[in-house]
Amino acid sequence: MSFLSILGCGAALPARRLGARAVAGPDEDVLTLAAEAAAGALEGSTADVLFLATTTSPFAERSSATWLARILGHGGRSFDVGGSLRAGTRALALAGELVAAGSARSALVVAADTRTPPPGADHEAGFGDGAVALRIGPPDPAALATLDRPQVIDDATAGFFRHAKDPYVRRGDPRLAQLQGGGAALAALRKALEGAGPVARLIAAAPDARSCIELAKSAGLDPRRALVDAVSPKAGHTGAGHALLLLAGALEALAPGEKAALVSWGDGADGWLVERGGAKATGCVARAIGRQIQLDYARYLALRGIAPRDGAEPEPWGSAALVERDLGALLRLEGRRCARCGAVATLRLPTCTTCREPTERVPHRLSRTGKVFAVTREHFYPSEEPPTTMAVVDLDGGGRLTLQQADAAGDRPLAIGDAVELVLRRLHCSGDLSGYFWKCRTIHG
Amino acid sequence: MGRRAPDRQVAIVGAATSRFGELFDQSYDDLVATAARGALADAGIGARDVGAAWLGTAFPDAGVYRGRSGMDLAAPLGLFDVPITRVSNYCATGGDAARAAQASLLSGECDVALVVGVEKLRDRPPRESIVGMMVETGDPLLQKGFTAAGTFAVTASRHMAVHGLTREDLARVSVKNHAHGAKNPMAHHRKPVTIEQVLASPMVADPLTVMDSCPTTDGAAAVVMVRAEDARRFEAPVFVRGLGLSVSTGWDLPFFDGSHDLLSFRATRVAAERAYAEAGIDSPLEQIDLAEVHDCFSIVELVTYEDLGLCPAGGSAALLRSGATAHGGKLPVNVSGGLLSCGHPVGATGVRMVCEVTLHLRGRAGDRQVPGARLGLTHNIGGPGAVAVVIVLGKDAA
Repeated sequence: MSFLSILGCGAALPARRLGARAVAGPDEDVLTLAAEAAAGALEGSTADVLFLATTTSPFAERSSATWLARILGHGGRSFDVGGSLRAGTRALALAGELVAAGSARSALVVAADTRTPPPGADHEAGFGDGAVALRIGPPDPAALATLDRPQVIDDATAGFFRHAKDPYVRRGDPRLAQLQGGGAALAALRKALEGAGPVARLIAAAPDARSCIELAKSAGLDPRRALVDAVSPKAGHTGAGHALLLLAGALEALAPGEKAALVSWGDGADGWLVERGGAKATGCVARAIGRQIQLDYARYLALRGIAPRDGAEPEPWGSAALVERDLGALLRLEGRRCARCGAVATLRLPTCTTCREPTERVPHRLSRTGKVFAVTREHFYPSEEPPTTMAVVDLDGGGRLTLQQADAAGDRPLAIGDAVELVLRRLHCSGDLSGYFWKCRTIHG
Repeated sequence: MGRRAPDRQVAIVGAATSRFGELFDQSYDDLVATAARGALADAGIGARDVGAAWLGTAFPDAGVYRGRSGMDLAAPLGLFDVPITRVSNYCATGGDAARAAQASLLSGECDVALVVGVEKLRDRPPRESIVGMMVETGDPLLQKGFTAAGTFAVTASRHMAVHGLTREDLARVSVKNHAHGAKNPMAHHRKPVTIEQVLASPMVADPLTVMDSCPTTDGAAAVVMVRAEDARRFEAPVFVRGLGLSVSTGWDLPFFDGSHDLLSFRATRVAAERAYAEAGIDSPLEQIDLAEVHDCFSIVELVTYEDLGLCPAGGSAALLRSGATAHGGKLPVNVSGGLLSCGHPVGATGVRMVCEVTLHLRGRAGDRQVPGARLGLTHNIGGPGAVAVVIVLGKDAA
């Protein structure tokens, strides 16, 4: 029975790779990845309700969902869902229920994680960082996909866990985890497939590749033909968002009308029946996979803050009040245009600096794309990854920002005239939103 | 705004600087005392003759937290019970202090004015001084990633793209000024350098290398000023023929307002227009005998040639290559060695330039004397090309 439809999707993977693992850079966290994915899913539209699912919120106390809402300019309700690798699909189920009940017309479900395995652990190679966002609404065959109500098994199955004061995700008995988790997954899958007719594709967000294969076999499917997973081999298991990221990736692989089962693992399992709709895939997952900067293990340990540092680097001063008052608009790319001369201002000055008069200014949505007007690379600005490229960017449609180049180490050097896109990153750890600002990067694809 | 009348002029009657360099053996107070006492002695007066004083220190918080008020000039000199004001206007600090002294003298508030510029930066490693200030203070988000070098390097990138400026052109500024500085016993760096050395020195902010950049330096400079009508009582006065100061954009605007072309510093053009009008200069390259201009980074000297009207827009590299701005050329620029050799104790720099030009107009510059100099110019540009000061000094009153 049709439950919800996916209207838009976005994905964000860090460009840095340790082997096949996508690993967040020093300026990335759950919030920046979530914001990037969410912007892709919204594409300028809005949602009535926002969910953020993660096991690695920047805060133990404080709602990351409301922060994300602030960044996105989302004015509706917002909820944090956490505590489980299944947080992403749990949030999708909750959002679906709100939409089904008519409590919300649309919802944005964002899931992101930056989980750190213990250095040297057997399971280290399988973990990745990333985010996914799905904008959902009531069932609509013209949408990207339509999902039935999930079959849910909530159970304290063995598997990965992290104690409150431990920075590292530990693994329970792997055999027990495969038995318990695999059992729950198979049960959820079987229930989801009841009465569905033939379903040849399986989207399995198991914690390891072997469990995916076993699940397919147990369900009577040929793993090589059935499994749809563009993400795990290219980025690793991306945590709470993994099932939804696999789903977003599958939208790029499934033909219109094609059906698939989606299974999400962790503290039980849930099973979903997915039918690909008529809307054209956005290609967001392929694009997110496309950017790659290879790290060696020593660099990874340094960037992840695992290896001890040489000394204290200077940190910019931050002020929540100042950002809230004067710069909060810039986090949402809200500029202003002079009602008299039309000049676009990115800064909220009391006077139009073109008219030189305190003229009326009207809201002007700043573009997320622009062209490099001038550029330099700063070799002495304190950074985990010097040099810091600074680009003076004239935005398409007006307004100028001067921004660091994101992921510059893996990109070609910016040059005057290059087209760039804006991406939110964390400039420093001020403990509030004053640490987050835009960077720019070349446009891929 | 027109020609400055002789009875509305002031004169420099005493001038002195400390050594410039990494002066680990000298405190802020020592620097103040060295420069101020030197200038007073040069004028043949004592501290008790000073009617009012100005202390120029731009960045107390990047240095030793001294220079936040006039009291940091009063205490080292025992100069109490007179009005003293601390002036801070980025790199135009010293020139702005001289402007304040001029206004006070002409208003009749005082008869003898003391202007001291001082900056004590090198008690900290360079990374913790001006760079640290750019990283840690100011707006928490805007311009993060820039050091001072980067804010001028983007202008260099525009000149390269628009006017075909080359990396070698930039290096030639450094080569010229280091050659000059080798003859200045007070300079921080006193070694000539080659183009190859400039190009091979570590990159700071592309395309600017370490040798395109002024060092982190301690230093102080001071001048004694009186009204022109009183100058006859002093030996070898030098007259302030014109002075213009302009704030022409904001700290963030060049990088956040698309109307800025990042090719020119409007503040310099406006300040020069006023100074030239007051001094009756309409052809600066022909009329001015020497200039001390702001070369915190090599690109800035080149942009300044254009903004001061020494050449057309985009013509600065050709002017430099012609040799006109080297010692012995038509208009020698930075015969002191400039900021690139002397260093840039920010509050001191503008005053140091006035001292340098005064030396030449008095014919006392020794090895580096510009022969027959009668008219000289000083220039500073501060912040991201936002605030500029231009002073025209003459051997003669108007």
